[in-house]
Amino acid sequence: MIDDEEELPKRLAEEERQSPEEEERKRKEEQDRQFEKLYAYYPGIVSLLKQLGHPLDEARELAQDVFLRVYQSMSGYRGESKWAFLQKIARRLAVNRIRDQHTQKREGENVPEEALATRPSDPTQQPDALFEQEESAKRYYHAIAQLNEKDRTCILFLLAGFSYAEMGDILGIGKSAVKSRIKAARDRLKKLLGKDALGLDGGS
Amino acid sequence: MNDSSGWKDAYRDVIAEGRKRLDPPTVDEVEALFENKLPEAEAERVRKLLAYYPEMARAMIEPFPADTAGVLTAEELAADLAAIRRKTGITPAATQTPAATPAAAPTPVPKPLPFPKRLPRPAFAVAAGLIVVLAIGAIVAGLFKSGPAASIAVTRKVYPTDIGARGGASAPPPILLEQDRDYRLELVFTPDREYREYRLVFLDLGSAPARSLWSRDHEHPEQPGVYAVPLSTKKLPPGLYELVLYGLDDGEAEHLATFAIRVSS
Repeated sequence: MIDDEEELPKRLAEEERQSPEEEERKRKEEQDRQFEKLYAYYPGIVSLLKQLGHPLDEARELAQDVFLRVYQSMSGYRGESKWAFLQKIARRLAVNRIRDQHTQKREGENVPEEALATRPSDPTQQPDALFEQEESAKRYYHAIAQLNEKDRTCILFLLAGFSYAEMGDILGIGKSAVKSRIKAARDRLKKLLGKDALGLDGGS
Repeated sequence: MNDSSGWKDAYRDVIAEGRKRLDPPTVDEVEALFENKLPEAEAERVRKLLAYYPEMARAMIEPFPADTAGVLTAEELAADLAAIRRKTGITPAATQTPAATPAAAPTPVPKPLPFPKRLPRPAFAVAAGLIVVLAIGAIVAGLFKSGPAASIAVTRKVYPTDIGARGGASAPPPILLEQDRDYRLELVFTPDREYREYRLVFLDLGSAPARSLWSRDHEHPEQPGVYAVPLSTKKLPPGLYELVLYGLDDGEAEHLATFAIRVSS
């Protein structure tokens, strides 16, 4: 009888102790639950990818990849800052996709020529105007090439349509510092181009 | 004349030209830049590259849209969730309805999507079988192959050229490699400590500015202080090159050593 009384708590404790398989099953269930909570952010990820220029189908495909990556990294996720966790993975994937496209292109795979490298001609323009525009483009091209690296980087970001605040994020400096750099770069371009340095708009 | 069109044309040409010369930065480099984890010189290099690949910078800074209502229909949401569940092996029974799935959404029955592009099972089986047969064939062919043996990599020890700056010793001259050979370079460096992983960047100093020919991440030295790397000079024009080794910890890259190489004709 005394033996039984001593054995009972041990037996109960043993029963309560879960097998490794059971523990693993519960851990996975918890992970899956966490993961599906993150799915609330799925439309946000699709939206972002659309905003970055992906057509809806492609944005959905990429967003699914994002969530697959998220699922694979769930063991490292501790329930903190879900949005930051998702953003990081989404942005990484988007950057990687862009990189892959350029790398494939370099390696000579059949990637369609992007519009960037070609100049669509405007049939409504007169030949003289077209010639003049091409001449201007050549002068601008050479002027940009003559800038020092920092100025050229600023001007290229400006021409790419980034705002001063966005340029500040990329360049790691404040908005006013961006403005000064852009002004200095514009002044250099003006020196190189004279009055032709018109129409270089952008930033805000 | 429209000046802004002239600028746009010039911009397209500058970017197209730059992309011919410069590879895009790696995702780790871009991420480290935006997390302020790169040394300034390295950050400048990545910024310069991003100027030619602005869409990569855009992907890092684009704010998330505030309003996402209506971006996907309830059916699309359900279908995408079903697709993700299929790929991850999550069973819906084990989980609750996700918060993003509208209450009125139908049971997530997977519907055909134009993606992901997966091979159908029989085609996959045939492809897998073919790969196995080809692999066995290649091994057998290798065993019975007669004629000249494949070129054997020549092992060379390489010491950093920037030890002068660190230790006061004079820097060794660039190691001389012959063109059209396979090498196994043993990069010798003095580690201050161990890093979680390492990055090696191969630079062509012949172009102005120097351009990165390749970079390898997630690497580990074979033994402390010796980093072995295969390098073929078969496609390298004669000239000066550099291998730059970084230690990576939590996305932070620390320059460890630079190794100069001259490829001779």
